Amino acid sequence: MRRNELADRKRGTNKKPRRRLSLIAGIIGAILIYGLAVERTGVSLDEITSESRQTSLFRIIRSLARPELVTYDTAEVITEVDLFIPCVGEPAPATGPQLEVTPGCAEPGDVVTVVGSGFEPVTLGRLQFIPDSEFEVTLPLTSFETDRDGRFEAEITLPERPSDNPQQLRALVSERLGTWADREEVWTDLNENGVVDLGIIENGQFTTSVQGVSTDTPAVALLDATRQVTEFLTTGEAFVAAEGPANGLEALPIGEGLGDISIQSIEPSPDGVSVTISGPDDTDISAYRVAVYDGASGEELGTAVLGDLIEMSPRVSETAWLTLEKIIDTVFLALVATTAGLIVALPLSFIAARNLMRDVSTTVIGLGFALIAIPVGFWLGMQYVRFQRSVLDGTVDNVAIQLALFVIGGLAVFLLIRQILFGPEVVSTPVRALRGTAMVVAEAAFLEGTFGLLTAFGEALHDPFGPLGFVPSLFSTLGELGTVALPIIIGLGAIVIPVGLTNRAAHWLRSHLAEGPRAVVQFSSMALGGAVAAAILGALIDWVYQITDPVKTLWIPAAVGAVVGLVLAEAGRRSGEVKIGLSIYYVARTIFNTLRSIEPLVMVIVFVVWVGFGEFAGSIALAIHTAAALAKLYSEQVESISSGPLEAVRATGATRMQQTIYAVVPQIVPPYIAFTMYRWDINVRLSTILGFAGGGGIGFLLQQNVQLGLYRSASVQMLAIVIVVASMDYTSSRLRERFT
Amino acid sequence: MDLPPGVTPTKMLRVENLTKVYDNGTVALKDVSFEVPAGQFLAIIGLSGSGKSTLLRCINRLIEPTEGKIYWNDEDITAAGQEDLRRIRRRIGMVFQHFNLVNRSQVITNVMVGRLGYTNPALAMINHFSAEDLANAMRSLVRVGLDEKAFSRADELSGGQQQRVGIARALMQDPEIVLADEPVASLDPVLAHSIMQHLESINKDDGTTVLCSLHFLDLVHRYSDRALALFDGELVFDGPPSEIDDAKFKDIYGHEAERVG
Repeated sequence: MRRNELADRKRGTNKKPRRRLSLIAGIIGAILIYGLAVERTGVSLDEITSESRQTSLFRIIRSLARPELVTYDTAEVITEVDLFIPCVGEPAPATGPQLEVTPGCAEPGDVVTVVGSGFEPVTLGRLQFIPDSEFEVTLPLTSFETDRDGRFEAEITLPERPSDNPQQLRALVSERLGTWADREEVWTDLNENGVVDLGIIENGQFTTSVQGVSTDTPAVALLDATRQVTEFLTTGEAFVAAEGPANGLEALPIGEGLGDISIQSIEPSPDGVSVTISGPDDTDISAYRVAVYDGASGEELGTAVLGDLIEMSPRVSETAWLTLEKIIDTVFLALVATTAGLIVALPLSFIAARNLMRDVSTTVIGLGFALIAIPVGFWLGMQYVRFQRSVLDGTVDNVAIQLALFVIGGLAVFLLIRQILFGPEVVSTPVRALRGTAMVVAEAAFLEGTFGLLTAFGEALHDPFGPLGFVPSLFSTLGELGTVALPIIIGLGAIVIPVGLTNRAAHWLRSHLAEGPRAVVQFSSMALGGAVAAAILGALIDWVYQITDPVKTLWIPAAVGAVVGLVLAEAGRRSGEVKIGLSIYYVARTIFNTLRSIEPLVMVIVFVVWVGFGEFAGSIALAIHTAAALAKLYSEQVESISSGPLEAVRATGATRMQQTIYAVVPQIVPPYIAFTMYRWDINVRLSTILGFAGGGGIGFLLQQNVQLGLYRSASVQMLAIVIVVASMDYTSSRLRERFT
Repeated sequence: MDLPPGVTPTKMLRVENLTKVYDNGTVALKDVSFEVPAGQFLAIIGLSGSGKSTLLRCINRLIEPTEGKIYWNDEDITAAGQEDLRRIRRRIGMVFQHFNLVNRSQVITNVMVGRLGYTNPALAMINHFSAEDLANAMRSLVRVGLDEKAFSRADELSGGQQQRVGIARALMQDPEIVLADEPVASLDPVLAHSIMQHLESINKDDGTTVLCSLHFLDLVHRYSDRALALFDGELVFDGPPSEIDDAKFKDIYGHEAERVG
């Protein structure tokens, strides 16, 4: 005991200085690392404190603090002030906007200070110098912004003065028109004819005059708000326009009006052409246009807007409307991506859960057979769809054929399902295989008909549904997707048949063969299966890299696959089983982790190339990332369920599927809902920046405005993002609380 | 088996040379062999970690035995394939120390789980059970006195009630054997008899073979026909509970143990 203690103490005394040394080394190391880090990241106080940087920073912050939600029209208020020179001894006027210059006496080229007071508070303005001259000449001096008391101070350099007569300084400030309590009408003379054209039909008609065009046989095209020509009439002979908005259309002699709003008369007048339009009273046609042609030459003479632009000031800004539209798109983008990701992640999360996959095993022979049977089944399924389509040959788009497929196939599927569910248990292998084949054939017909009908009805109903046309559109989109994916769907469904057959065969061989022949079957089936799987992988690699060398893409992978198969067969030779579950688990996990590590912002670049700019590219990128992330989160939840209930359900003789539904699913519902909500929350946030890479949504607007320096507009988008993200956060946390 | 003339072959569970070595090298069972005639109430005793749970779980292959064979009515359970195993398991009910109910599901759903082995897997996917099964489930619940709680969530029940749901779930399997793994160990001792009486009724009234691991010797004496004792994975005692004297007790529980009940 004593010796041990002594030894301990000795070791302790040795330890102390060493520990101290390593601490000092650690501190020095940390200083080095952080020094390098600061250097590499370019952290610099000079940049922060430099005046020009600060000025631009304040400008941006101030702009961001005033989101451009509301547009005010402005009127310029001109304050002209005699250059007031105190040294002459005149007192300054007491009220109203005024400018004061100090020092009072200065020579050209001197710097003087101009102090303005009595202006509109917090307003931008400009200072101009007006020399004494016959002509209206102004020299821009500087711009300023008034403070809250309507004061400003600016330094200017006095320009050369052409004479000794009084010179003038002029201050121009913009004044906002109207207040929210008392809005003002602002009129923009679009035709610049000095007349207020309201553009509203009264007493059944509206007359406008297109100035400055002269022709004896005028022809007029009427354009609606979307710039579509609704009517093209001439006072002369019919002709076809070769230019202008009515290019390619034929002008017909004027007669009875056709539509609700139509041209009643066209009359040449001394200073232009007068056009009278008839229509129901109080219709606003201010966005309509008329294009005047010369009926003789077919030449376009001029276009006029029917009404002037009359707007209210202040009003909700264009930016605000655009932002609203885009933020809605953004939320929908996130919704579509989350839903698609969820659908993919749900089933995958079970195969990526270690506790469920750990004891999934298959016989060695069965695995070898399955590796061959899976591609064969898939190929056969795809071939069958191709065969079915070649039999139908062109009549696939015929609604009657589709209806027949839908009814007959559906009935067959229904009967088969009923047989499987409620009929006597079928043990015979050939009967099972036959029934499976019948099921695949019936499904192929049923789905072909269903998808075709969905597409046809969706397209047919689009117009009758009017503004709700997006509902049938959804169905036609789903139908088209299904039609494209049908060979894959049936291929996947058809896998079941050969795999079921080979599974049975494998089981029989395993229990009926003596050890020697069994080992032979085990090794040969695994070698062949490994070779087939590797050859398919090789074909994929060939497709990506275009190697087109069968030695490299077929024979070498097949050989490697065969060797791997033999190794696996050897590993499972004694027990006759292979733990296939863990392999699937690791493959799934690796795929998820790879996909998850690529940010959607990067992925979107690929999809923009594929499907073009916009929300679609963004939602695909986001959906893939969501699927991978959710599958991982979900599977971790599956891994953390309590194993007791699962064990109890397994003990009752439940199949793996039943175990999952009865023991796993009830335990994971609350976390699944929580994670889905959380993910939608993340997706809304991510979708706000996807636009930076062309993925649509509000990020596109934001990026544009930031790059154009329109910080007040950018601020509106940021505000919208904050509101949406905050309310998503609130809603998702409330919902999560509810489902635990 | 050689049987005297005029005697029909009895149903029997036969365990032969059962050994279980876990992946980490722990030897949980060493060459255990015994036979259980149908209708017997067999108690399995031993210290914690002596291999009682492993033994029970090897019988329905919740744990794969490393070596040895288990026969039920001369059918080799250890060699059964997936589909045969499902058929075997559905006739073996199991009651667990921690009840192992699905907490968030209703009591009736937990009981219906006992029927999964008989249900078409595709049907169970859509949560569909036959009316007959539902009536059976209600009868099982009546038998354990919990019919009023049928539509409560399982985690709203007390421990004793949860274990009775566990028994009802085993009853739904129409079992030939019931494996009970420390069924009263996580319950209040005063509730132990109520649970044990249900197991006794399953054994005596239905003629079901019961294999029950237990801690308390007085429960063993009171309910079992025969006791097996495991020590460190080895079978150290096989005989009627009355034969467990002080010497045997020390063999089973080690020399530092003292009798409490």
